[in-house]
Amino acid sequence: MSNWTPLAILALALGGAWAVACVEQAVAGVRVAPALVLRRAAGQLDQPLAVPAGRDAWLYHLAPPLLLVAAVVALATVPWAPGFRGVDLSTGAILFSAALAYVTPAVFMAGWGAGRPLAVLGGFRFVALMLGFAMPLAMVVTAVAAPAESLRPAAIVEVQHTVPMVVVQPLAAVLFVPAAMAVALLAPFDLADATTELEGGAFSEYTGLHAGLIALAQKVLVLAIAGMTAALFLAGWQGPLLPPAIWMALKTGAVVAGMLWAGRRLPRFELERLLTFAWVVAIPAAIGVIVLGGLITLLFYR
Amino acid sequence: MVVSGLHPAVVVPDEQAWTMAGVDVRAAGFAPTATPAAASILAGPERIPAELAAAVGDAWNLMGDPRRVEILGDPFAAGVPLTEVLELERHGDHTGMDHGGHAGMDHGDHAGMDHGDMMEITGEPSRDGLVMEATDVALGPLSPALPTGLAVELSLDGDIVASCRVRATVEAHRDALAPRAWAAATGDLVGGERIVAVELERALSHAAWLRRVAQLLGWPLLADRAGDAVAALLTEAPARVDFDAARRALEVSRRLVESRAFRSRTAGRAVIDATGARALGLTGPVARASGVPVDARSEDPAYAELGFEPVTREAGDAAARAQVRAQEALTAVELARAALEADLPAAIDSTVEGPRGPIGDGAPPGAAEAVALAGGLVIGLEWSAALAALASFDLSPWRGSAR
Repeated sequence: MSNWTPLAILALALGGAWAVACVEQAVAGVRVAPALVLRRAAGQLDQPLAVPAGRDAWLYHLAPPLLLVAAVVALATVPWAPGFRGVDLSTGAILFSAALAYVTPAVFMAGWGAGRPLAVLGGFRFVALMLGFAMPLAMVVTAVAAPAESLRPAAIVEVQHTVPMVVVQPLAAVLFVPAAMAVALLAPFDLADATTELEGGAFSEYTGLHAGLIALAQKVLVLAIAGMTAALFLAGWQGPLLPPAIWMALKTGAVVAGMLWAGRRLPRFELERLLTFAWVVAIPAAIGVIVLGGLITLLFYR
Repeated sequence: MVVSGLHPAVVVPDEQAWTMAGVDVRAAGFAPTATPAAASILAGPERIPAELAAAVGDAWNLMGDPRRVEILGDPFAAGVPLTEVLELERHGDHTGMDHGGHAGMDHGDHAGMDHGDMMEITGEPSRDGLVMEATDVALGPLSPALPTGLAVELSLDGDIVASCRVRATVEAHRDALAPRAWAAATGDLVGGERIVAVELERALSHAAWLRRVAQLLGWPLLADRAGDAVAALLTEAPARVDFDAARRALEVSRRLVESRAFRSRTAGRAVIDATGARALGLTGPVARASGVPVDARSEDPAYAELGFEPVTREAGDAAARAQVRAQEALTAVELARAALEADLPAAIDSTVEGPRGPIGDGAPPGAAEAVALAGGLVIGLEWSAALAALASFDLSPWRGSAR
């Protein structure tokens, strides 16, 4: 990590968010208009801020920046190339889960602060969802880190030089991807900000800079979880012929496209079903994944 | 949260109503938003029913500057000029405006919101034994979750519906959601021409309804296919309809409606059995989904010549109602195509079966009954399930009076 790393991560967040918006257009089948994304964002900043009349306005104002900070910190832990490993902490994988944990209070604050019943309901839904899915997410990360004997994401990428982790621990990937999508508010897990169903849900009242920050934060979140999926399961920057950074960009792009595509193909899940799945299937399975990860490490990585 | 080349707009009335008036909102360049806050354009009609004026004014006030109005057409052909409504709001001069609708507007009670009241703990434990806080929610008449003009007052126990009352708020001479069926009922359309117009309108109505339900369920795949069907059917002249494209899109839509994904959100919800449907005097697809084969077309000799059979299902739940409409849309396209080619008797004088039920003398039978019934059937359902179940009735917000 050099002195330039924070700047590079911010640039990556902005550029990446823009790229995610373009992929979103492509997946939705509309003509990709990269300039339009920027024009929309600029137009949004022109709008005045809407201020709710409720008494918890400070929660409402604090939620968008908190969401963005959580997203950027999560993004900072993603290793992009041997020469650009983000913040590269020895506990980076834990920091990633910890940063995502702050998405929950941010969404809840947004919903509660808006003070409308449906916005509050959106916040409650997200808390319930995260209670179920935050644990499998963190547990799966631990299992994937076992072969590398390190929680440093770059080390996890390096240990996959022969076989990508998705082949070694497929069940871990199956649990990680939906949980990560739920954190990033992606369809079909977009229960907190369900557009028509909750009239915009937790984020329904935001305009101007607030709305811009939330849209940015959500796209940075998508980039962060897609980047981490590529790093943890698809061997990150490793690949033949092409430079490492290109491999990582290609894999991340493919994961982003795949997640957004899945969101268009499936109807939104109902909360009750998701929670049943989380508590009855995902959490026990995640414990199994940890045991399995340990066995695999002992048998093949020592 | 899809970014596209369309302008985010508050669309009044909703997309389904514009479709029935022959206007494709998206082709005109507008994407309806979930909230007024996210829009900078209000796309509306030249004149709006007086009952909607207050709600539209509220939405306009919640839109951020800069904002502007785009007129898409004049589907109601009656009511208060839209510019007048917005001008009044702009100057804060509310005299003469009917603000009775405010209480029913979700956004109207902003200033009066009080977390203390909203989170008050009530004594009744819910079905899981927990004492939850009761929350009152008023949706409509301008909610993206409902057809424009429909108002719903709910009380939520956590996210479970504890009570629900549905109201159709707009008094109208004719139902703006089925203009051709009404024209046929009043004798403005006759013979084969009548069958073609009414059947194409049925297919269009069911496809537009399916698109709205898909949007409610958060399912772009189905919304896109239903939208393709709408696009194929939405033409000026029946002869110019792309029957093959409409058939293909409706066939895919029907398969998606019968898929497990759709059934998991709708099956077993808001069930009406055949006895109940008969006793309540329900009509149209709602009755047919409960296994009651009532259909005004069965008595029409011209339809008999085309080999018409009513579409029915037995389950009587939200899934069955969707299946009936998806199948009926396909049948309607076939009937319209056959009627275009066949030489049918000119003088037919029977009740017209519209997209929601028969239209004859007086108020359409079964319509008010369905509105009164729907609210009670969603009690005990979770929020999203309740909305999907309500949508399955395809209630019209127009309280159609006599011819």
